[in-house]
Amino acid sequence: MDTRAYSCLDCGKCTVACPISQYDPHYSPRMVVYSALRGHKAQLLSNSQLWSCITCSMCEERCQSGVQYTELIKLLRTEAHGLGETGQCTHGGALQSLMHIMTADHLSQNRLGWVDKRLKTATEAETLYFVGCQPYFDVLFADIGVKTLGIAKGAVKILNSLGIVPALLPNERCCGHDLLWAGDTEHFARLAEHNLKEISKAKAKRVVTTCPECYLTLKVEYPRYFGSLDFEVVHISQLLAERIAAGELKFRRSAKKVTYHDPCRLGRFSGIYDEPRAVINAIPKLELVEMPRSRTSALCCGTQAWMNCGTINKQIQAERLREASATGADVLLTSCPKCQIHFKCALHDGRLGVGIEIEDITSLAARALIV
Amino acid sequence: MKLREYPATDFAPRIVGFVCNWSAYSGVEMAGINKEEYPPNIQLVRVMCLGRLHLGLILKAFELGADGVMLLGCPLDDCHYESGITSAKEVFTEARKMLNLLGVDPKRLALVEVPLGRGDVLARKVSSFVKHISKAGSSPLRLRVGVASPA
Repeated sequence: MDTRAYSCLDCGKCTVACPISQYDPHYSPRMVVYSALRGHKAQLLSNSQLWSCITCSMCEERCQSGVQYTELIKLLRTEAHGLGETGQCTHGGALQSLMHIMTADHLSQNRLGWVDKRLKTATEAETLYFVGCQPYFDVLFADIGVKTLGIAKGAVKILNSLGIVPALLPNERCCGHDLLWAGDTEHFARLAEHNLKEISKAKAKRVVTTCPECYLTLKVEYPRYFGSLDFEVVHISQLLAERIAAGELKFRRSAKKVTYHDPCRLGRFSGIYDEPRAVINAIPKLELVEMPRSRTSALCCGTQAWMNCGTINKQIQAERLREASATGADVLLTSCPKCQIHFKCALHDGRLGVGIEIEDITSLAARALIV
Repeated sequence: MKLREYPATDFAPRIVGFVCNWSAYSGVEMAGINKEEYPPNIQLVRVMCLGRLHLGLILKAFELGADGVMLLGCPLDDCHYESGITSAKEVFTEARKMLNLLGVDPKRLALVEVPLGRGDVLARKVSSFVKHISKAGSSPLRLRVGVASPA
């Protein structure tokens, strides 16, 4: 894997753009690349800062030499993981255990309890909806009011109204995104293997996701490990935008002022900026006000891969929430369940003094949909 | 002295017990002093308060192959830190929901309140939990120990 680190000109634009460096003067992407090039291996791999990068790709956006910094971080973390190094697990390591448990060969999960009678689903179908870890998130983060299953229900409702009965996997595993970005490629590969087997059993030709991390992992990372896929991966906003353009979806009015937060995995990593905005613009009376930093310059939701979340990450979240609130919007829309979790966590701190509703674009579209 | 006999079965459940340092652990000590008998399948982990537990520790025990997990705490009105057992109960409810989602019988996780110095209660509760898990069989989570290298 060529990360183009050798092209680094040592200009430091990455460090200027880095949200972590803004608050942590000791963290510098430029110095990480410098140490890597100088071969300061031991120092680099045992440095706890290796795990602080939020892999938001803002530095890559600014780098004129095309250094793939997040790819470099992923490779360094994989090496460090092999040496027994690891980041600081958040949430008591519950999510890491959850992901490890999901690598078990024989699992019979009860993860589809949210599917109510009004939703039509199948076990085998051409289109498959990849739910992601949302059933687990709603238990884990119930205390901060996280309700990501509304996204899942909304997605099936939208698909149904398009005449699509999606297949759901009763034993879908975590896509493995967070293990991969924590350098644990072995467990990632096991999860991927299980998912690919289940998807092929369901005879799916197209996999729809509502989570940008699942989207990126299935679309880009799985083929790296297992060769080209025999199915197409789409994010629901792409499907929605396409069907809206074809005039197949109608929405009732929703008189609200919203602002949209581009998740890094959907935006900078996948280049999907217009589709979510097309969905917002299709809803009558829904007014979109952009934050000063949007699209390629969007600030990250502050943390990654369930590790190294602390005061610095909280400050980034607070900064983003203040920015959203300053637009005068009632609702901060996003299209990633993780962004929702991180923002709701930051909002939970009463001292922040920001009151803004957080909602996912899929659940908003499903609510406004005229069936 | 006669060694205690256990039911003739190949399956010996592995159980992790998180014990609160105060009432519950005094129960463990009294059980020892009074020579109360309970099966050796439980491995006790002493914590300063059950309120110190979080979901991560419980899931970790299951991840590492525990067939059951017991949380041994203090009665509500006798918590050394007033609110420890209350937060332990919240974690317990959360963990049971997670186990259910993962397809693990939530009854593989138990919360028991042991009154101060009651070795008999501790021995009885542990025995009945071990019996329950013996009947239920091994945990459905069989994790591969070997490491598969990616292609």
